[in-house]
Amino acid sequence: MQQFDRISVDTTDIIPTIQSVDVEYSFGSGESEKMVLFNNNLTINPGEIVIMTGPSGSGKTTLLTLIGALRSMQVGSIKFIGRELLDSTDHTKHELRKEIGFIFQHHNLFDSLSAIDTLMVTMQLRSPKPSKQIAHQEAAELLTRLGLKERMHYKPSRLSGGQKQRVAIARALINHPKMILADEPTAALDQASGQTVIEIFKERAEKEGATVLIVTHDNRILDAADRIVNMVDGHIHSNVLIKEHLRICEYLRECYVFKDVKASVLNNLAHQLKKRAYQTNEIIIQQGDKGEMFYLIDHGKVNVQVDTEGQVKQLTTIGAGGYFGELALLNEEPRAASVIALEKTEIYRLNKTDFLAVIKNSPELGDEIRNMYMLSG
Amino acid sequence: MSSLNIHIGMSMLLHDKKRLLLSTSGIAFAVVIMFMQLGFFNGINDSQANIANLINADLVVIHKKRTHLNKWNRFAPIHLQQIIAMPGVKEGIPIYKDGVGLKNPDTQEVKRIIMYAFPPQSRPFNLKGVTDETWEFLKIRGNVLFDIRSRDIFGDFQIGDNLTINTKPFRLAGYVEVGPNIINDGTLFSGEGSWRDPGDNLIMGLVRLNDNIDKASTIQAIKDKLDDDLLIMSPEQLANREIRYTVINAPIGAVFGIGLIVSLFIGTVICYQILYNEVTDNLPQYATLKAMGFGPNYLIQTIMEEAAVLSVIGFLPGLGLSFLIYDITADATRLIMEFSLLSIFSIFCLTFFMCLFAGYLAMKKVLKLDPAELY
Repeated sequence: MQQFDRISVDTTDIIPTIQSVDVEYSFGSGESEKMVLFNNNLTINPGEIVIMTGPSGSGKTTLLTLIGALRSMQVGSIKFIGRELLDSTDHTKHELRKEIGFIFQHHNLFDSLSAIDTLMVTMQLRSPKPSKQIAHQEAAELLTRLGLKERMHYKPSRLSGGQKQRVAIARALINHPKMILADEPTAALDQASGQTVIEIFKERAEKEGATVLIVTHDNRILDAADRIVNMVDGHIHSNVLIKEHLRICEYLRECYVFKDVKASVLNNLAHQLKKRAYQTNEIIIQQGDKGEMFYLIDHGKVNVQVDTEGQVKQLTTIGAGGYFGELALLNEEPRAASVIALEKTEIYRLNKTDFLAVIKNSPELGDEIRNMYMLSG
Repeated sequence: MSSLNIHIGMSMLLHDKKRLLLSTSGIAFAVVIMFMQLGFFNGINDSQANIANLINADLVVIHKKRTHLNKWNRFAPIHLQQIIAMPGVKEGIPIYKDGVGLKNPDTQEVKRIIMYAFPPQSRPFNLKGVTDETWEFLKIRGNVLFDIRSRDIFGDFQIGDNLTINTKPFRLAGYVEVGPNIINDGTLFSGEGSWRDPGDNLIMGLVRLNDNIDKASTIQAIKDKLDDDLLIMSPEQLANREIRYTVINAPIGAVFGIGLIVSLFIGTVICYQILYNEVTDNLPQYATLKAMGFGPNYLIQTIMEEAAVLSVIGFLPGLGLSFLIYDITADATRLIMEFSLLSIFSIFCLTFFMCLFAGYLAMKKVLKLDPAELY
């Protein structure tokens, strides 16, 4: 059995797209040396969409350029799909960059190249080079998807700011990179095309396992994020698997025991939950044991059964979002029933102290829960 | 199926028409300057050596002190007679040369002109425009040939007109094409007897050898017996000696030689300026290419491609313009202004390498570019 950290998923057989350890970076040297990054540890897995936020000057962009092999590493380690960036040669950097799609704040399109030519230039990086026909077709499809069908033969001078930005986004996506690094990609886009871009990001993440790392302040795209990383003053201030976090909060809110607890408290509570996986038929709670934990099912199913003098009685089945184990904690009594995993199940657990702390903070809640169980019992 | 090759360099050149026009004119300008310098350089040298290049014989005998062809050191005909007497020698041709006054029939002014005289039956020079008939005319006493490319100062003549040379009457029997040089304005050719007689001192002696003999040993034998005051050499050697003399001793050769180097330098600067501006204007774009994973080779290729194309599209109008200017110059100066394949090829190579070198200078900026600056 393995105990999982809440903010890092089971990584035994997945090579992370990005694994940064103790990354430090400073500009200048000697007296004028200014450290802009320190103690940055970040692991991002294939298929994740990560949104990086933080005030300007917090080092987001510097970290992004380090991850994208645009800048030489100074201290620490960043592994891009298992390949170390520290002390990598220029050649290695060029090779790595081919697997990364960059979207810059400024589109930087060649004035002399039409939208479709811009994409075809990028496709020359593929090995082997595609034929002209195939390249043309592929580029045309992507541009059409981004709403540039009528304008694919236009040069930048005849495109609006948003259209240019979409060409730049298409350029970053055309070679199906393993990682997409984007700096404010949707800033210049209207609602609809911003949405299309995010859709494509999601598609690439789901279907191709691409990792998407977006630096943005655009609230419209926050709900696409699997993980939100907040940077302050050169280090990662918070790093939350936001989708999972929101799901837990949702579950907690649905729990009768926490029905009157304020959202902010639940939010903190969600951070204290520890995840654990159970195999089929594994006993989660043994009837008669001392209660130490509160359980919340993330996914899977469990059976609750009572053993009355050798006769096993099936009480109920609980699925995702369901919880159990609160009574023994509240009443300081042994477990009244056994809980057995029916299938491979992942459960968040909260230890007794933390659980009681929350309850204690809202005394009415404790009473109410007790009353409820008294009545029903 | 064609493979995917998008030429950024080419597209950038063609994109901005105004800049392309400027760039093309810039390069063309440099090309024209180079052609002019080379043209003058060769024109002056060739014109100095023009008579040497026309010699139709195996060997030339001249006086040792006649270090260039505009000097007047003559020698006695006996020396040529001695050479003619040697085995292997077929023929010796005496050449007389004088500076004479030719009266301009329109203005009555007398202008100095060079007169060459020789036994007409020996046909010592390959003269353009001269037919068998014309050679026959020279046998008639008083007939002369006039170099049609002489400068205009001598006036207008028709064939058959009377010419007054050093107050004596002569008759114009035909035209030849030789061309003046920077010292002499024109040339006349006449038969021995019409001008100078056998026994007079020679400016040159031409020697023709028998066929089917060991030329090297014959020449050696002639050299061994030759008077210490004389030199013997092939017409090519004479022409080269003349050009070498002009290049080294006359400032004119050096002036245009330096001009050639300067124009090459100017061309490089113009070309560099063009490429450098293009590179500077597109710096973020080049940085983006780098950030996308294009290696230095691709960037070098892009800029060098641009430089190479620029050299070609600049060279062609430059060449065309030079043709025009050569014609005008040849007309005005009567110097030999000729394009040779070699000179066209050399100037093209110079233009090409000039552009590539400029490209190399401009490229260094791109190679040093840090893509991290983009963010």
